[in-house]
Amino acid sequence: MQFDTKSIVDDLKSVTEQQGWDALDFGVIGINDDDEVVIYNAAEQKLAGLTREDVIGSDFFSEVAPCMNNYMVSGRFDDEDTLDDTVDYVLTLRMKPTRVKLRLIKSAELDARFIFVERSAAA
Amino acid sequence: MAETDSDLLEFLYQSPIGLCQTDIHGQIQLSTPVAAQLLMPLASDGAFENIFDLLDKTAPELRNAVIGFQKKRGPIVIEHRCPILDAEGAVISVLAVTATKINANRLSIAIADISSLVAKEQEAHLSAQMFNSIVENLHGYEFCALDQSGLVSDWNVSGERLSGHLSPDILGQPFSVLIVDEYDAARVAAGDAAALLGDDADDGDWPALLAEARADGSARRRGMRLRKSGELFFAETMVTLLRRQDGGCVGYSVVTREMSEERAREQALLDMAARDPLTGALNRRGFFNHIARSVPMLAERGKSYAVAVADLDLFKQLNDEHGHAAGDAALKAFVEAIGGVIRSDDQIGRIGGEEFALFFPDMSAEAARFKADLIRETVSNLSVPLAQGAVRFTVSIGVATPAAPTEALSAVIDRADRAMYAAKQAGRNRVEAAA
Repeated sequence: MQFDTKSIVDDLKSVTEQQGWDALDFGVIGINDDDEVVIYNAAEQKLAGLTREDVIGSDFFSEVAPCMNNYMVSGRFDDEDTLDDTVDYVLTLRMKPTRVKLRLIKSAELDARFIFVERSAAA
Repeated sequence: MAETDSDLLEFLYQSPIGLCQTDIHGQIQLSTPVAAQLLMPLASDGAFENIFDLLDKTAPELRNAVIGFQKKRGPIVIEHRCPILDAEGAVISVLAVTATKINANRLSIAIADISSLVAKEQEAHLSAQMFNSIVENLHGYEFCALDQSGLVSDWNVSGERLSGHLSPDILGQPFSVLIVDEYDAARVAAGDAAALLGDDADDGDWPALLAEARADGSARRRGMRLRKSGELFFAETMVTLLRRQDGGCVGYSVVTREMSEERAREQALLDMAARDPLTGALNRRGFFNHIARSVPMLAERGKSYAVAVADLDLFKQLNDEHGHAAGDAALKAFVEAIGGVIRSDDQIGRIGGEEFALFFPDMSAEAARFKADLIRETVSNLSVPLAQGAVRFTVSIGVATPAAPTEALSAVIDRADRAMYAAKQAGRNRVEAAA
């Protein structure tokens, strides 16, 4: 699975273990319908500087990543039933403004909603 | 990673305030997530690089404030308001920006969303404007506020109109200076202007009114109020307790409604009910009510009175000869003539078809007799014009004063009545004093 794999939903369904998520070279955050973090892979831990234990179960947009708590990110998940969109964004990872690409994924076939995080190439 | 580093990062991630560290030109070096959350929607190109670029559309003056800041370090702007507008120019939210110069190369910028605070301010501003429009336009009413001690704390044009005082004169005064209690009002009505002077230590029942407002939330009274000019007016005064949000008393709101006209109309109605429609004299009930009230008040002041009963002579004959219209004209002329002869405090009542009673407060027996004779004389000289010709008549009068201060009013009237009959027997057109 790559950040920009086309038919991503099937690939996501196939991952069953933590190892599977940790093997990916981009950040993966999975949140449930209550916005709680259920998946937080190794790459994302390294990007954000937070441990999985800190984050699992917390409300993602309120507690973990307020910078994504606006119409550009969290609002998309609220407003759209199906989502697979990649946007340019700036995250404050370790308080440093960091240009990233976010891929926002929501599907009826999936148990969780996903956010993929990958650093953008320097402008 | 060390545990404390993770804690520190979490702490900063969770900060509800947007906080940025920038260089002196506004290039963002470090930023908490909330700053990105608040400012990203302003980024036209998705960039989050320069804070002045981001805030240019809403607060271009920030860049200039920083450039123009001469000191080496210190606060540049504090809680500077930056409204964020939508495409139509409507305000979506308001940010408060605080910028501090740390050193020659570094700025610290704090950003908070104060939209709900601003919305509350707008509401309060609207409320104030609505209140002002009511105060300006509603004549006949006065709106003011008192502090917890009952001293005037808020005054406006409505008070200037109704009570006549200007703010500098009345602020800090006890509201009771605008109130006249019943006793003083009666004294003023009786001509004793001195009643308004002096410190009104009793204040009528004004303290009770405030206490009632504290207990029940509101209270109201009708009574006399005093204008700056010294003029009295009748009004309804309504007091409402003002509370803080936690329930503590913070003062009172006082609304005054002038009722002089209304009261005058009420009095006129009451007065009409007490009068004989034909002649304008008091009717039987009105007359007896009046003297029943007056006699004890006179007694309190150690004063006496005189009563006369007057009956028109040969009235039935006058009616038969000239018609009832002539009789009515005679009765009206009679009362009118008496009005010119008696004092303003004296009263005349029509107690029968052609029978009248007169009440003279604070008059001696001798003076009453003299007055009765003057009436008799005046009436005998009357010539009442009719449709054809004119008619003349006379009156028989009996006069009585209390034989002793303890004599009942009814007994005095009885004696005057019998004296009137004696005058008839003795030939009419006479005055007789009661035995």
